[in-house]
Amino acid sequence: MDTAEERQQRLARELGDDELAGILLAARAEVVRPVPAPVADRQLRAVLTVAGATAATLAATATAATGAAAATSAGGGGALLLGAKIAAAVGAAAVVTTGGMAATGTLPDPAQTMVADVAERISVELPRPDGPPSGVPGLDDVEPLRGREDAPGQHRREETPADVQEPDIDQPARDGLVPPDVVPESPIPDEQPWGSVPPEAKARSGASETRSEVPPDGPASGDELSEPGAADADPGEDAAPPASDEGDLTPDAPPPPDLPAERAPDPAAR
Amino acid sequence: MSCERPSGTSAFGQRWVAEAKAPVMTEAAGFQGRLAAARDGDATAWSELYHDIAPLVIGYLRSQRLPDAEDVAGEVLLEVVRDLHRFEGDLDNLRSWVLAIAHHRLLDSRRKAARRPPAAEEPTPQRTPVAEDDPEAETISALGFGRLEPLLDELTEDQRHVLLLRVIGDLPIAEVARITGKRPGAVKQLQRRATETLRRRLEDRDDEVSSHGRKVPRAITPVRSARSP
Repeated sequence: MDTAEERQQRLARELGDDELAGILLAARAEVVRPVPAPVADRQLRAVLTVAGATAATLAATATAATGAAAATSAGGGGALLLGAKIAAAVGAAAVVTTGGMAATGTLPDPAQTMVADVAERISVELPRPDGPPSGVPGLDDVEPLRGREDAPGQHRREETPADVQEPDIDQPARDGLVPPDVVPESPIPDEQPWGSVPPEAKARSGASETRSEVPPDGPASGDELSEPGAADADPGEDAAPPASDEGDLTPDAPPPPDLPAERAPDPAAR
Repeated sequence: MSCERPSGTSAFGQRWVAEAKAPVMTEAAGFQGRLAAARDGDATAWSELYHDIAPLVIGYLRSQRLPDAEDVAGEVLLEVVRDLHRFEGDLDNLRSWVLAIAHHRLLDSRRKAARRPPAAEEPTPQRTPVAEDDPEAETISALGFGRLEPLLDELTEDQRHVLLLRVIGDLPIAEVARITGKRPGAVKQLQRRATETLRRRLEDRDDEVSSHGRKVPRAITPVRSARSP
C-alpha cells in the first residue's frame, strides 16, 4: 500500500516536478474525502434497494435456467422467455404427434373422427375410423413412409397425390441419378460462399467500435495496451478500437450453425 | 487504499501468482468474498464497497467541476450495482471500472448541458467558494484543490481528463488510455504537455509574486486564460 510520501515521490519522479506533484496530491486529498453522512445515507439506501432487486432477479433467472437446462438444452433468456419457449415446443410437439397419428389413422376413434372433421374444413382428407377410405389415391402405397416425419417429399404427396408412388430405391443405383422425391434438402446453402462475412456480422463488428457502454469485464492488462508501436503514437490520436471477434469468420471457419431458412436451396427451383 | 500487487504481475487484471504474499492473498480473498456477498445483496458488503468507491467517484467528478457531482455519482453507483454480477477482478479493477463509468457519465452530462439553451448569465461553476471569514478553509483550499483549480483552465479537455484520471483517480497509464479511448503513448504525451503547462503557469505566478514583493495566495490570484470563455 502506497503511503502519501511514496505516492508523492512516485508522482514527482514521473512529472519531474516536486512542487507540482505536491499540488496535485494536495488537490487529491481535498476532493477525495469521505462522503458526507446525509449523502452517503441517501445513496446507500438507493444502492441497497437496487442491489436487493437485482439479486432477487438474478436468483430467479438462475433458478429458471437451471430447471430448464435439465429439460432442454436451451440456455439464456429470462424465466418468462424460457417458459414461453418450453410451452411453444411442447405445443408444437403435440400438434406434430397428433397430426401424424391422425394421418395414419391410429388415433382413437372419437379423436380420429374429430380431427378428420376439422381437417376436412381445410380441404385435407384424413382417414375416418369407420368411414370410407381416404380419397387420396395411392395413399396406401406409401405406407412405409408414413409416420416418418423426416421422410422427404411427404408434403408433396398431399399436393399431387396422383404422382405419389413407392420410390424405387434401386433406380439411383442403376442410372446414377437420384429422383427428386428422395433427395433430402441440403442443410447447407451452396450460394453462400464459405468464409465470407455476412452483412449482419459486419454490422456487429462495426457497432463494437463505438464506446457507448462500459463493459465490466475488467480493464485490459497493461501488457495488452503497451504493445510495440503503441507508445509512439501521435498525441491526441484516438486509440484503435478493441479487436472485435471477426477472427471467427476466417475463410477456414466452419459455417454458422443456424443458417437462414430463406437461403436454403429450393429443390423445385432446380 | 489500493491493494498491493504481488511481484510477478505486471498490470491490472492479472491473476495472482502462487508466490504472492500471504497478506495480499488474504486481502484479495476478502475482497472477492465481499464482492460475492454484494452480488447477493448483502447490505454490509455494499456499505463497504460504497465507502471504497464513492469518495473516488465524487472526488473525480468534483475535480472535473461538475455542478451536480453527487447526483451523477449516484447514477454511476446504480450502474455499478446493476452490472456488478458481470464484473470480475480485484479492487483496483473495480475502481478503474467505476471511474470509467464515471468518466462516461461526465461526458454525457457535459453533452446534455451543451444541448441545453444557456440560462441568462449563469455563472460557470469554476471555483470552489472559499469563505473569507474561514481562514482554515481558505488555507486548505489554497494548499489543495483551490490552488490547482485555476490552473486546470489552462489545459485542454483531453489534458485535463488524463491528468485528473491519473492523479485524482490514481490510475495507471494503461487504464487512463482505456478509459479515454487513446493509446498509452498518446496519454503519456498529453500528461507531459499538461505538466509543462502547469509548471509554466506556476513559474509565471512566482514571477508575479516576486515582482509585487509580497506573497499572494495562489488560489485567489486571477488567472487569465486564453481558452476559458
